[in-house]
Amino acid sequence: MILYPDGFLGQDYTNFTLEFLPNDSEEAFLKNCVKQGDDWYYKNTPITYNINSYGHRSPDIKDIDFDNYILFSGCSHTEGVGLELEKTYPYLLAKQLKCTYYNLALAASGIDVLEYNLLHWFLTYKKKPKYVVIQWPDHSRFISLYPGYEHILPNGSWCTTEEEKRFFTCGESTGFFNARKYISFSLIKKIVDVPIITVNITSLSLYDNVSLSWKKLDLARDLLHYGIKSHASLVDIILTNIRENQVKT
Amino acid sequence: MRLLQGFIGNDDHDNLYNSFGHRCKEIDNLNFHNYVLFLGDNVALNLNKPIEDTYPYLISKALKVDYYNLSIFNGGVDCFRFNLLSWFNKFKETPPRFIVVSFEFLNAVMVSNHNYDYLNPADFNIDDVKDLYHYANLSGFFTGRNLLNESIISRHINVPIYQICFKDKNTLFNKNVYNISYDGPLEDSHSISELFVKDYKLRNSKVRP
Repeated sequence: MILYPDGFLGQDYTNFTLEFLPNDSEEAFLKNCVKQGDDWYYKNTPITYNINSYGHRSPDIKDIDFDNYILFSGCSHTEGVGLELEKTYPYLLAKQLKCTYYNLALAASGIDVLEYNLLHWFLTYKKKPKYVVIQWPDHSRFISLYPGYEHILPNGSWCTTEEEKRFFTCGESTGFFNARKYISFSLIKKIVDVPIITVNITSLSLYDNVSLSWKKLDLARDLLHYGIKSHASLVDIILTNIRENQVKT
Repeated sequence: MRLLQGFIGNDDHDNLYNSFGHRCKEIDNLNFHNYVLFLGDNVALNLNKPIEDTYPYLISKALKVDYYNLSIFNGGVDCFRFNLLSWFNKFKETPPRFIVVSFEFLNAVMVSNHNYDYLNPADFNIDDVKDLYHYANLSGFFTGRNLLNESIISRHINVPIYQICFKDKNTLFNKNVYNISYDGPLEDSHSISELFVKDYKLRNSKVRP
């Protein structure tokens, strides 16, 4: 992850097109092809990851209609890892609502990165989105930086060193992770002065009791992330929520 | 500590704070046309002394400006960011002339429960909290947290930032800041104030023909 000169945190690579990602690797794909058989959807369906100039899997900022757009934020699920772009819920929701969109989501990121990019957006651009959709990430994730290194490292449940594992344990037992997300989402709700739709992934620690629940119905190409049906179902849930005028502001 | 009326405030057990939990006058009484904003933690509160012996009071008196003190006891950088951005969001039309930042414990952390029934500074006497600090340090957590805080504030707070740097204590800002280094005792608000005022006047003095 990199902090770009214009102030956004993004993936290490920009203006790049990829067929695989570190968390949706070709190696894993080839193994999965053998396991899943010939009629596996992804066997003959390539995925293209277009990463824009800020390191986001999103249309470029210059292509947004600032009078008609939705802003998304979250982790790899919202970035759409393991899915064709056209099957991801940000793309589908924006299409349903006839809006353009920007997707700030970053794989492996936590509430620190999410808050930072959202606040930076709102403090930078005067024209506000119609809605902000926030998919809360695992609350224990954090970024780290070591002296002398440029790259920002995302940390989470995949970390294996004793220091990191002990930090996660103590963060839970002391209530530090609860306080951190409480402060972050309270600040987000204060600065983001447009309707916010928040989404909890059911398998993760909840942020609150008012967010929409997103259940896993199927799997993406990497057999880890939420799949096509799951993304389509979230679009339905959000649209229902909008229609019923129950958007939390 | 409490999240009340849009700001994080200190718990008031001894009538030390205003209705927001801040050690200064009420917001309604602030002169929004000529004021300075103070942020940080314990040193700016100087809880064992009368409010007239806090350096925000002394500095503002010497510079003939009003002030508001958003400092939170053991609040660390999370409370700092929350209160600063909330202030600029709420009072964006009437920003302060400048802000003054100081930290005794930049890397302090807050704790809460699943229902967010409370928001307290972590108690360093608890073993798990000691371990939390230790392993947070080793895993680069604080460095990452401070990077994001410095970046968001430096980019979006468009008034001068003065940072009082205490000996052997961590500071947040590395650039775009006026640093004032103070080596004396932390409870000596008069010396901190004198040093600050002298430095401020020197920086802001104009050469007259």
